[in-house]
Amino acid sequence: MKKGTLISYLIIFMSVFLISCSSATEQNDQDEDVLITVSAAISLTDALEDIKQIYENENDVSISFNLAGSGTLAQQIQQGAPTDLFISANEEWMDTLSEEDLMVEDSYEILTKNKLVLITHQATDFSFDTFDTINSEEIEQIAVGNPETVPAGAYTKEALESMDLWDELSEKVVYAKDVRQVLTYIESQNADIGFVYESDAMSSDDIHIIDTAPSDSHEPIVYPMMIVKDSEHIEATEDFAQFLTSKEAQEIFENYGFSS
Amino acid sequence: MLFVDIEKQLPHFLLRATLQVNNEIVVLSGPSGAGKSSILNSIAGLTSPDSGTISLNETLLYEENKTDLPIQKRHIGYVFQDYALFPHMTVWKNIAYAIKDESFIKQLLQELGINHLTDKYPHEISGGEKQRVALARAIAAEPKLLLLDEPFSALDDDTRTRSHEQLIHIHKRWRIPIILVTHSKDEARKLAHRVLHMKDGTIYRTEQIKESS
Amino acid sequence: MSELHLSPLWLSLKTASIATVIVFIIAVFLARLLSRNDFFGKSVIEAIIMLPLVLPPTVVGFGLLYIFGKNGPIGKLLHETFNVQIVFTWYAVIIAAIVVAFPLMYQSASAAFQKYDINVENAAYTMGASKWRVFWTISFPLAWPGLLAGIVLTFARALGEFGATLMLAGFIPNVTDTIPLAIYFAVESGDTQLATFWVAIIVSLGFFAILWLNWWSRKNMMRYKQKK
Repeated sequence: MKKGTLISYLIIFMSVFLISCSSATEQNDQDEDVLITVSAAISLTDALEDIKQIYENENDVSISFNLAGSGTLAQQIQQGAPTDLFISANEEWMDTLSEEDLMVEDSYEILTKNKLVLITHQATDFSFDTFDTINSEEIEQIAVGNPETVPAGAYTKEALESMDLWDELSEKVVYAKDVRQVLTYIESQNADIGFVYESDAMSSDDIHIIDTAPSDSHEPIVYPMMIVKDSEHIEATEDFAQFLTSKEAQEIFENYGFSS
Repeated sequence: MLFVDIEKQLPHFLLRATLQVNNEIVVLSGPSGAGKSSILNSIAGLTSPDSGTISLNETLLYEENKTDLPIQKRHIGYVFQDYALFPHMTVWKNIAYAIKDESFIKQLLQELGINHLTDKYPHEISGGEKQRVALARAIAAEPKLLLLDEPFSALDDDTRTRSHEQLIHIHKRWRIPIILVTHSKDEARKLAHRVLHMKDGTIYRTEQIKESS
Repeated sequence: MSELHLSPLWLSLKTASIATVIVFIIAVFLARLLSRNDFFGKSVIEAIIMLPLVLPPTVVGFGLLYIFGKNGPIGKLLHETFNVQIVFTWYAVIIAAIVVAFPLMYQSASAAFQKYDINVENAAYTMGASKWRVFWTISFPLAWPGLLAGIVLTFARALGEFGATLMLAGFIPNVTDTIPLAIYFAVESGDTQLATFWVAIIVSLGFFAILWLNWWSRKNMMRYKQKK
């Protein structure tokens, strides 16, 4: 009895597996659209999804996004993951890949920019309202992306150091693995203040932006993009990259809190 | 003296049993699933009946909605069908689990002819030996009633005959009521003062074999 | 490789050990309580216990953050009555490990308590032994091989816990940087050498724990062998 049911499960499993395999191959045969794989910093997700919709409607191209932290994406490309376009949230990883001769040389372009903001929960009230007046006595915990791995964290450190605040504040810092985690700590009020990009802060209703970091306090926050050398659809990718820099696409980025 | 008058709903039928056991050996006989073990378990306190009363000597063991004496306080010896010896203890420790009195344990081992097994573990001894250890262990706690659930069914003929004699001896020596569950008619006639025949949860016939002493 | 701090090793060993002890005690008593009793709602309770096994650890961590956080029901209570903060401390590392590893210990213990003949316990009761005595002298030793397997699994799982820990404890160097967190940030920052070092450490810890368990159980299975 038991053996019988096991075997029938196996048969069902196998047939489902085989059917799904065969339908997958069929699809590939019929689908003649070019598929462009874009590895993009996860903070760009919402804006990119909107742009994808528009672009796919107007062109015979399918866009597929691989979204993760810039470091992860860069390492995937280093290991030969099939990618056409790389949009990084930090210049260093892009430089690394360029130096390793993995990217199409002249394809470098700055897609969009961002600003570093100081945030807290809507319900919290502090006496300070600018970066340089942050009063550490009012604060128990500060959420920052790990400067070693999260670009927003690195810019935060740079900005606070330029204002001579880092040493004083770093004792209270909790390092998050990404910006999303910083937002969670603020939303759940487990950390009092945090530092994220303006576009990230705008994605949450519970977040209040206290101040924007002066642009001279840190290197400009830019999102560079480059085409991957191993791409099999370089032309189609160039067209899409060009669309990303068009006015239509740039307006979408601005709607999500990015700046051009 | 044990007095039982209980009802209990079992999956396939209603168990209704009224019985009285004096200082005698009473055999519960009947096909598997007739409710024999359920009666033993209710008496020992391993399960609770739905209604009725159970009393042993002057002590009330169970009364519907009033009393349900825990197993430990019932002073009833139980020899299980698979003997349920403690597998991680030696024969000596199995028996000493009930009582500290070393000379009493030695005497018991002697009487049941298992004094050469004291340092052995249950998996190292034969079925007949296990049965005797289980019996010794049950008696060591000095019970006021002894229950045996098909204790001889797995034994060969010679061992069984010897075990029968031992049980009769034990009954004479300790003078407590004994209830024995068995399938075998021969065994029932040989050991019992009375045989209670069971089917589908009811005792349908009582057979007097010999006078209790 | 940047300067090597061994604090992740000690922190991981310390928190995994404490978590294992706590998980062991609670899971064993709970399993003993539930394994041989049937009652209404038992399967619901067991489903809740097993939940952390199927949920992504990050989700577990998110839930814990809202329970133990400053405004969470338990976090608030602890903060107001004992002035204890859980989130972003090494207590959080322990709690995350406990919750994530608990189902493994419970599962092992539950199976271990159902493996032997229940009448062995009943026999002990008829001999007048108290519940407590039966537990320590009969149930516990008979279940021990299965419990030990549970301990090793629990320890290994606690040692490797990442998602829930990172969420509830954050990453604070020298406070909440367990080996898995150290590996993650080393990989993300491209410090392959440091990552490799910690991977080697955690792989050998896990490997030898399981190797020892297999060796031990093969040796001990012979002893308690129970013929039916």
